Amino acid sequence: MKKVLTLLLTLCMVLSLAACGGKDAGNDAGSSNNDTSAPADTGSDDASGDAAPSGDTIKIGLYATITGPNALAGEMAEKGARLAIKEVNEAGGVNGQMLELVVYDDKSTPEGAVRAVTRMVDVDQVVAMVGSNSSPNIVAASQITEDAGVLQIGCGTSPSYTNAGYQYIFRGTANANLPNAAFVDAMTQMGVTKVAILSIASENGVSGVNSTKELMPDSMEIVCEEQYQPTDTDFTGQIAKVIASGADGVILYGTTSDSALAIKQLRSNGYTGYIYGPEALGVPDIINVGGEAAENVIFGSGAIIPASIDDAANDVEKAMLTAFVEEYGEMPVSDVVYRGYDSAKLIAIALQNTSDISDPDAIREAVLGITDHEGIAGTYNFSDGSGDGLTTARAYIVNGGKNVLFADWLAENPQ
Amino acid sequence: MLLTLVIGALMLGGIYGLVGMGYGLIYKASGLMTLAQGDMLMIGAFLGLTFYKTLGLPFLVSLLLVMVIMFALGMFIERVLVTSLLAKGAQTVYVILCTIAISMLLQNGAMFAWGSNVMQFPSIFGVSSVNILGYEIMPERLLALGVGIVAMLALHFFMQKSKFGTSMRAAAQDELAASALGINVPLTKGAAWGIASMLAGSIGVVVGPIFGVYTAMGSLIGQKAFASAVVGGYGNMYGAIVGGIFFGFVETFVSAYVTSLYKDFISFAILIIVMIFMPTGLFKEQVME
Amino acid sequence: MQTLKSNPGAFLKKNRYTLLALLVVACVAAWMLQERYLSMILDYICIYTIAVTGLDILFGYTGQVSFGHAGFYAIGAYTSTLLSINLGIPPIISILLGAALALFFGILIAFPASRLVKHFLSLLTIAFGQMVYTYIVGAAWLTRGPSGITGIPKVSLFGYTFKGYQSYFWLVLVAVILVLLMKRNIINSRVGRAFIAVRENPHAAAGMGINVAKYKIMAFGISAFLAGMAGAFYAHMVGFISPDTFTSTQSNMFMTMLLFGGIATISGSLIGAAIITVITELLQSFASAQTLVYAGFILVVLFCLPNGVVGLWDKARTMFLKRLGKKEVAS
Repeated sequence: MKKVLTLLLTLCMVLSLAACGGKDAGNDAGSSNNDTSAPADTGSDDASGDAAPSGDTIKIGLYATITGPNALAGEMAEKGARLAIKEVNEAGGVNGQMLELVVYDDKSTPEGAVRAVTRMVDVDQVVAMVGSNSSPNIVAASQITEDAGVLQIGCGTSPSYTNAGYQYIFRGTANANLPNAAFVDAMTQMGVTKVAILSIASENGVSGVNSTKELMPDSMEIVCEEQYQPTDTDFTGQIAKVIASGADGVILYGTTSDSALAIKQLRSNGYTGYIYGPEALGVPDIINVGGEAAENVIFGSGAIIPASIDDAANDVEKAMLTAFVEEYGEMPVSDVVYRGYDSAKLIAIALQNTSDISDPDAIREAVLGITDHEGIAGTYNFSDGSGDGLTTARAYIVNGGKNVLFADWLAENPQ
Repeated sequence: MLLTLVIGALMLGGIYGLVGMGYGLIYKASGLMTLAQGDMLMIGAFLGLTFYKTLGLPFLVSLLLVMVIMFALGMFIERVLVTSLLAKGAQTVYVILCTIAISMLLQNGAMFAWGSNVMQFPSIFGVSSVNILGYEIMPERLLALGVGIVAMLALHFFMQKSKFGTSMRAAAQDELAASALGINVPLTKGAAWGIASMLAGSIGVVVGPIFGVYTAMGSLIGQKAFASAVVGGYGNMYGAIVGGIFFGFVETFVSAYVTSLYKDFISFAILIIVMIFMPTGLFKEQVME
Repeated sequence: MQTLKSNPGAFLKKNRYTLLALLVVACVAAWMLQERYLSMILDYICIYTIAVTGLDILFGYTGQVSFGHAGFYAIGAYTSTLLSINLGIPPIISILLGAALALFFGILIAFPASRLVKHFLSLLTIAFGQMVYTYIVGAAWLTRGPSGITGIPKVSLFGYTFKGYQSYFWLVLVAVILVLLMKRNIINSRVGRAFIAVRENPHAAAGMGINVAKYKIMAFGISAFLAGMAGAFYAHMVGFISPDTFTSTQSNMFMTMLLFGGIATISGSLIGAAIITVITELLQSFASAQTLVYAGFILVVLFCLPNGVVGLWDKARTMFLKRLGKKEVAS
């Protein structure tokens, strides 16, 4: 017993001596000052103190779900952002300074996001970062970037992290409320009255379904509401219930891979009606995986990956897709690529317009000053301070193996 | 609705049971535990996809090729990795760590080889559903059910009637006595691992068209299959099938009639209750320690 | 042995390698504390050490396997969070309450578990972990479901708030030291010997008059308590929890750390937690290949050190002492 105590005491003494000896004054106050330092305490402030870029390049961070169940989306976000940064640098950089992208994996967990963001803020000392495509991960890391005053433009769609009072967090894609509103609107036009909802039991599914329910008009009645776990592969039970409910429209709220599976199983179990959902249903994969089953899927989205470059919705999208194919040799497979691209471009514009890139508030002002940036997902306008830059999304329908604008399709096929 | 549910439950149960049989075989033959069975299923599915879709081979040929490759892979893992690990004096629990690492290697290896997309396994029959007694049923589900039954029968006759099957059973019962009788015990152990991964791999090929093929497809199936094997009485191959079907029914019917949100909660709770009353599973099995 | 206690010189001599190792650890830790990011790594190492120590008492000493420790980790994290947010209980107390609830569940699960062996036990613990996970996803009214809980208060003690990672380190360091001391005392006591007897041969242990079920339940309780405490420390450090953290991956990671460091040793859990945590951070540079490299690394280490890192340490020390002995004899 004595031995152990002696050992531990030695350890503590050495540790504290060495720690105090090695630390600078700012840190020391944090660990030894017991009562006087309430808010401006410890570590978090010393990092923001010298966020000045090192050398000639400006470091931009990115964290996304590079590994884990959503690896595909993370990879897309990274590729999109890399492309954007490359274009900015080729066009002369930001006020003559080159941008350098630092990429970390958040491992699809909030814990991973916290580690990655702390590392970017403290070690790499980035001035801004592209936030994860997973919204809970952005929420988990929000306190770190807020404390350090580092700009974060997120790729997640959940409403949770904008309109939440954050100073330095913005969104580089459409708030999920917009695509939701678009497909609910399509449902109204299709005359749906009895709705069945099948959704994934994750943040994305739960917040999406809540927002959809709020948007639904009173004429629609929810007759069935079912959930599945992210790891589930078989939805027989849920789908039997959905079909038995006699709904005339099914809302499918999930991520890309499980949505494809659910569509297939809905069809093979005999559901022939229309399936509605968010932008997750708009990726080319749904048509590939779901095949014929994907016909008559209606979804809301800010932007979609077209079948070919020529089908691009606007010039920005066409240019980006051309560059993407040139760089990576194939078309992107998910709209997350647009989110990474738009977010990185928005950061570059904000830094370009900032008077002083070492001042977080100047950067924030510059983002708020973006009022008419033509991104892929639409025209960004951040001036209202909510953190959201887009106000519109459109509905599409899968028709003949292609994504068609719902409005055009409805005009040709009046219901 | 009922028939759809029953077929769905039987199919799911068959998958759990067959993959679960692999756990039992491995345990009975070598007293070890693997956590990579689910990933064997995934690798089988990807290989099947490659042969069938990319190389355009007939479905049966693809299935047979996958079975051969998976057998070799299982054998390799036992003969090369596990045996040499044990030969170095590692405790048997470290084999679990080894299989955790193998599982990660397989998943990420598959990601590099085939990408992180969900891949489509083209329909084998060209129709999306057949009508049986007025119910719409996916023909691939019936195929999965059929392959499951055939595999189970084949394994039964192999283990009971063939010479090698008999030596495998003998080696599992008493290693020392078996080797004294001239049975090649290391070979039977390797074969058990081989057969286990072959089962999982071939199931992967038949469920590919139903579930799609992606790197994480095996993780939950592997876990449920393990549960089936244990409920059935670990090491008893028929027990695993019964356990699997039990699980398939509980899961499907709970989500259809009770709650889909707490589906796993309820099925695992039932499992715990079963284990309280039958701590050695439905069928008691003597195994090598 | 007894006389050594009162003789500081002999004590220092006998433990010089341990002391040297501690000195090196302390210097490295001190260097790491200068950076907030590195302090965070230290904090994680401490938190994982607590959880892995719990697992070691259960698995390493009593021989009961668990693949569901993320469940206890989650119970500790969520209980402490909810108590401190909803009822305003000071975190330092809610952490203990969270650990206590985990202890309760540990004992509850131990009643059926104490009758099970090997795979049946693995399955029971897997089932338990999955049930906890499904519950926190489903019970949105209580846990806010998959969206997670933000704004978890920081720990305060005597009017001082452990706000940053640097200051939090001192708190978790004290916790780790207490936990390791407790572990050492338990292992060297009657209870510890009973644990080992139960592990080595439950039948023989029962024959010697040891109440096997009682000690199995006790080990489960202690183990769950420590995992719950670690979870609570984690929640108050990060300030955000969501179900994604408490999947079976986390349980497997605890197991990997334990097996990697070496089972049934005092320092194994610390070494395992430290190495695995640092390795996962270093592997960030491999981007999408990192899991591949990580798995390869584990396999390689497994083949070179078949009984964990502590096994290597023992081997090296024996070899070193042998050589030293020879030299002394020669001179």
